[in-house]
Amino acid sequence: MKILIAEDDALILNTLEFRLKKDGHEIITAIDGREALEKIEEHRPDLIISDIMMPYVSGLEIIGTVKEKYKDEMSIIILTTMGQEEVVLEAFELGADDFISKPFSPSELSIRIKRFALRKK
Amino acid sequence: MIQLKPLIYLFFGTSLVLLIYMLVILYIKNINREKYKRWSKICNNIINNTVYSDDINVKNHQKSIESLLLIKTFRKLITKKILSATISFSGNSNNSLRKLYLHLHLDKYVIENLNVKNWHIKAKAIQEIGIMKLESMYDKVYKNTNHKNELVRAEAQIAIIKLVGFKGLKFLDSVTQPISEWYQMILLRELSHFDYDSFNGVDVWLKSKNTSVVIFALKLVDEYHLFELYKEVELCIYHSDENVRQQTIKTITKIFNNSTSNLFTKIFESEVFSNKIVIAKSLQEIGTDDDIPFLINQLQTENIQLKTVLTRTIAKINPNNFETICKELNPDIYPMNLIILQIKEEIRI
Amino acid sequence: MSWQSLFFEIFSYGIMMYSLILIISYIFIGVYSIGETKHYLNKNSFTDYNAISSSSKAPRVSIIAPAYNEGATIIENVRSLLSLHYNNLELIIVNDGSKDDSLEKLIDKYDLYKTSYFVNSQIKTKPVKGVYKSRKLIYRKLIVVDKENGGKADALNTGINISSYEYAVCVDVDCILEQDSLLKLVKPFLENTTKKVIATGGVIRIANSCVIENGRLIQVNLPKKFLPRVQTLEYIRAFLLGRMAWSRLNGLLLISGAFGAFDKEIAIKCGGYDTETVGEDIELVVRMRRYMEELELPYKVSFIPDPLCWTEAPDNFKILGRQRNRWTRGTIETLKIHKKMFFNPDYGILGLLSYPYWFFFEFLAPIIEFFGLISLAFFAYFGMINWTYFINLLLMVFSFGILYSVFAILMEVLTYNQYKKKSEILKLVLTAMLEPIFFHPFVVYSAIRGNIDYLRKKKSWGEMTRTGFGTTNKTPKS
Repeated sequence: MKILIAEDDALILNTLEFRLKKDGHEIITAIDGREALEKIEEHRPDLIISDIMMPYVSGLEIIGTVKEKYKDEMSIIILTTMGQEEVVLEAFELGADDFISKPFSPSELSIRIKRFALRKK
Repeated sequence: MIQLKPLIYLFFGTSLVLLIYMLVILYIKNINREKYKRWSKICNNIINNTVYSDDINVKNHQKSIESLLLIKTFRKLITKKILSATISFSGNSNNSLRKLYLHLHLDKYVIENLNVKNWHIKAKAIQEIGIMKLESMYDKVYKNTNHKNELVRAEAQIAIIKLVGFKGLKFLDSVTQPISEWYQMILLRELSHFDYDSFNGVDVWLKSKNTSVVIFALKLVDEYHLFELYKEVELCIYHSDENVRQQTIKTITKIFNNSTSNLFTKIFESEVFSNKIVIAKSLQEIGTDDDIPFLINQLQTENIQLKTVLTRTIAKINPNNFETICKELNPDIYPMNLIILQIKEEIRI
Repeated sequence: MSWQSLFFEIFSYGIMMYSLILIISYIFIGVYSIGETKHYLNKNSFTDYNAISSSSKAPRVSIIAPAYNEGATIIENVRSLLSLHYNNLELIIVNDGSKDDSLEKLIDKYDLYKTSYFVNSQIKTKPVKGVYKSRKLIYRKLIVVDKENGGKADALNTGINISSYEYAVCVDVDCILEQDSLLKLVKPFLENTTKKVIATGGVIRIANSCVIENGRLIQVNLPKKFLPRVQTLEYIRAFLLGRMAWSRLNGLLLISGAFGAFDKEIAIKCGGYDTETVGEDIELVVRMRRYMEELELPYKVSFIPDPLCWTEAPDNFKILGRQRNRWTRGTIETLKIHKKMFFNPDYGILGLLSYPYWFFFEFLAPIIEFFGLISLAFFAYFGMINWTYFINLLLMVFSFGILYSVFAILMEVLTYNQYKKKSEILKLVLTAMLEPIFFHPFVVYSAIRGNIDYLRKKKSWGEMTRTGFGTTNKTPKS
């Protein structure tokens, strides 16, 4: 599966990339919202994992834009911080498919992604 | 007249000394920057491997950086990186990171730092203990929960919660120093990482002499919907501090019963302006048709902000009937005409 | 003794004493600021800002950004402001009667519609023509206000009237803000337990020659041109030393108009920004402080040494002169409005220290310098000048100026170290040496012009509404 990860925390971005590549996915990374939007255009990933708080274009705006343009062609998992139920609700209203809150377990994320991959097939 | 020459020499001389000092610092900083880049790579690699392998080879890592670990700045760097990774990941990865931390014997230094007089080193050490969950240090940390330095005690309070969860709240029994809004927010966030576990003492904290403890206790009631404390919370509405009263209004709205809106209408007149607004907003959530006459009555206020909030409350209590009620609100006279227009648009959305 | 020589004696002693007092106060400011900066950096080193970036319990903040003929960049600017790391916010763009297509662009891009929002004019302003909101859910934090032209202060007041949140953050729409700038600016309001924080401000830095892409700062560079570079030095001195010292004394008078946060309730109670002055940013802070002093409530104005906001500085003498002229008038007007506080013990530090400092060293300094020069010519004509002594005095002031600048640069290197290359630092030091000769006289000249314009009662804000307010008050005075 082709996955785009948008996250401004380099540590999380690196570790996610490392793990998901190991799982056999094709990974595209973006360190801010604008880069993410550009790369989504360019690579058309199957799945987007995006942080909510990101420089320049927020995760919410990415959801809005992607869901308007590509409908269900792409799934979106958002990364949030604990205790921001309101933001999660907002993300779902905009069309996010799933969310994971930080701190998160990489293994759990890995499993959730497998589920998305199955659904795609 | 004062001799100026010595002053001139002094000023020029000092400038020169500062300039040289500055260049040396810049030189060192630039060298360090390169070194940090290298070190950073090493650390990231270790952490990546730790986070994503279920069975980590800590021994190997330790070997590879053994000599580096003797350098203080390197230890600081890797500690910082491990800490930030530990915050970001949970589950197995989190455990592996803690294992890594202990294997590298980084905890040895945290104990040293904890006993330092310097407040920021001490506070940072306490923070580290909390994040790495070094339970053996509980007592040492607990002692600092009422420390006179704000950061030390705040970090100690947070660390205690991280170590033992809800049970840790017992520091509220004895804390006499204020807890700032900022740290109250962080404490609540820390608690949210734990599954709710019933805890005792809220009734005592609600009566604390420390107003920030009272406010925090009210927030706990709010967050965890402690309906059983309604009576105790109700008493706080007569507290002498207006911030306490404001939080009480917010909290009681969350655990309201049939008599709550009555209580609000009773205290409304005597409250300060900002609390009036909060009451009016709260009634949007819990008000009933019975409160509408009271709200209409209050619309006589000259204050437009209050008028707007009150009108919104009336509309939200019974949106379907708003059109009819409007007739009683002087809908043709400024500013009610405009307020009603705005509110109508709001409830339509 | 003839009257000339008596006059001359008084003159030389006066200038001498003035210089020494000035130097002593600068030394005090320099030394005193170190503690505050150190304390902040130590504290900041383990602050977890994530705690409030996305929390729904974080205080609610209204960003107010006035815009006048910003059509060229408005879309990018708004986008950049919308993506700041802070969830609990509303963004109010006040279109101050722009003559270009700013409003149309915004309506088009963000799918805006006109609401029947009722503006509660707690502060009197020019009429509002319309309040717009977006039909799109993702832009629900955006409010665009269209109003008749009334100048920057009037636009900010309109924003305050419309804002529904507790804190108002006023920004220049063309400023480049760091992602976490709001978090840092809001934090002091939540921190103090004994004093009410009424306003906070952060450091403004100069963006000339920096690499900027799509409203984001990519790389920091020292300005290549002399003028912006001197201003960089000025800003470092003023923000890193001056403001930090005043903040520690709790005597800070100025939160820059380019980026500052206010407790909205108090700002409204004070009547908002004064539209009659060109120094609306300093005037508001002074008025808010005065209000708190008069009610005898404990309060604080906080200042954050982090570079939070980047802005373009004027790079030619014409615009710079106009800017300094305006700052001078703003200072005079503010001092005049609040003259009651001059050495008035009822106003504590504000009356006994801050106000007199501004009066003697901000307002009077250029005037004294100017008249000093005239008198000098006069005495030289009568052959009364002891040239060695005079040159020594000049050298002393000059050497101290350099010392102070070098010290400021050193503090910069030790703390934020934005300019990392050795060549950049050396250029800054060289600039410090050139400043007194090539830049300072112009500043004095502009200040004198400001005084003259003030005396002529030039209606300056009329001119301001014509020229827009893109480059107004980012005031870096100390």
